[in-house]
Amino acid sequence: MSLSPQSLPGARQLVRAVVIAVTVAALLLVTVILPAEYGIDPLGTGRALGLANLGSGAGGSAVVIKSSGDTGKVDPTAVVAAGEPLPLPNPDVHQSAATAPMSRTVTVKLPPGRETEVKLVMRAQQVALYSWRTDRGAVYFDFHGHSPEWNNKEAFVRYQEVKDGLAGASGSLVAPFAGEHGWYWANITDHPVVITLSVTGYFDAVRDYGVH
Amino acid sequence: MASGGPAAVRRILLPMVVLLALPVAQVFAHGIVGGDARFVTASHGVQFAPWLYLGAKHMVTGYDHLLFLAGVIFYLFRLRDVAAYVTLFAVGHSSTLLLGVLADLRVDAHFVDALIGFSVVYKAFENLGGFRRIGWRLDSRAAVLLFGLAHGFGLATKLQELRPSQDGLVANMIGFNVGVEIGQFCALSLILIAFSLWRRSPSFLRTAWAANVLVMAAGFCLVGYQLTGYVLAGGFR
Repeated sequence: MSLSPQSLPGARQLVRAVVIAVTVAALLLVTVILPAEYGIDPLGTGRALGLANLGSGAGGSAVVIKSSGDTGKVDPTAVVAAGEPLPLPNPDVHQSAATAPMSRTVTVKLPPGRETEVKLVMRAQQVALYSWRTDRGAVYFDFHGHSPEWNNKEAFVRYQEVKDGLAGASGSLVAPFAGEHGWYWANITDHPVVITLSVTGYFDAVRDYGVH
Repeated sequence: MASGGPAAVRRILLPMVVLLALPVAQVFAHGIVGGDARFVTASHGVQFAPWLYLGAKHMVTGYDHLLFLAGVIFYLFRLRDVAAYVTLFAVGHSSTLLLGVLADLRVDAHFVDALIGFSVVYKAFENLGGFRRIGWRLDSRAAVLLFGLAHGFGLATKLQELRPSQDGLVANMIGFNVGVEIGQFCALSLILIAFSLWRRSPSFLRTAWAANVLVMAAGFCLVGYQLTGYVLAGGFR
């Protein structure tokens, strides 16, 4: 038997022990444990003690991109429990697809002083990875997108322009709206240039506008 | 009684060290985390020694198990009683650990951990003489066995969350279980040494009361912490 060598405790002594235990536990829970573990911080003590973002990632907020097409907007999302996935405010960040991503390679031979354009026809939020390179020399380029109703000038945005030219560039694009997204190149050298563009991702078509 | 020197240091420091060392030392290491979790998820086939080690480590670093154990042996002065109670606890948690993982019984981890916290509260209340005061005649051996079952489910849920491979599962679980017992033996030895030193100090009876109040507070903390996690995970919805 686990007999205590003590005499039987008085009722008041016992009640006091339990009250102290519950009070200590409640204080610790509210001021330290819940803020540190779950980010529940009713008295602001967790923030004051710097417990809000402890190790496991719980107990704070994570910044989640609100819209994949508008990188300017971010949205803090409360992290509720350690090891639990966050509810995603923007489901477009992940898009499942029925098919594997497409890969296309386009080669354009551009004489000096001439220009060309290659566009991806993409739906809003579709994703593409690209890489292009010239065989020699830097070409002017303007990476941009516009809505399909180009004549109405509904949307026309520029992603990147390098006036002095580059010999190649790589990156990714999440289409901010449905339309044509791609590259205008101008050969600013004094010799012919072969541009090779590789794209992988989700898009409906590649449009080659030819040399002008 | 000397008012300074080693005796005073022992009188004041020892209870503090015993109380603080148990929950604080490994407070960041509970559960199966980091590289250990990756091992559990990635390992295939019989890997007896690593699982044995994991079991021992889990027990030594599991502050909720240790708090309960410390509570159980708090007023056990004879080594024979210690052995009897610890065996009951081991039988309890071994059976649910093996049953839970091998039969794939799923219990909510927060709920089980809240129950483990409650077992700590129960034991501290018993040590304070609460049940004798109320006049409840509880069989403390049966209680240790029952709460042992809960602790075993706690171990089982943490292992199941990591989805260990079915390949070599039985041998690995036995390894883990043996490791748990080894870890418990190591932890228990340290607690016993500390307790026997503490009991020799004249302040033991006074500090014992406070210590059990603190253990009960720690138990309530565990209950509140786990029940909050249960609610946040949608447990009562």
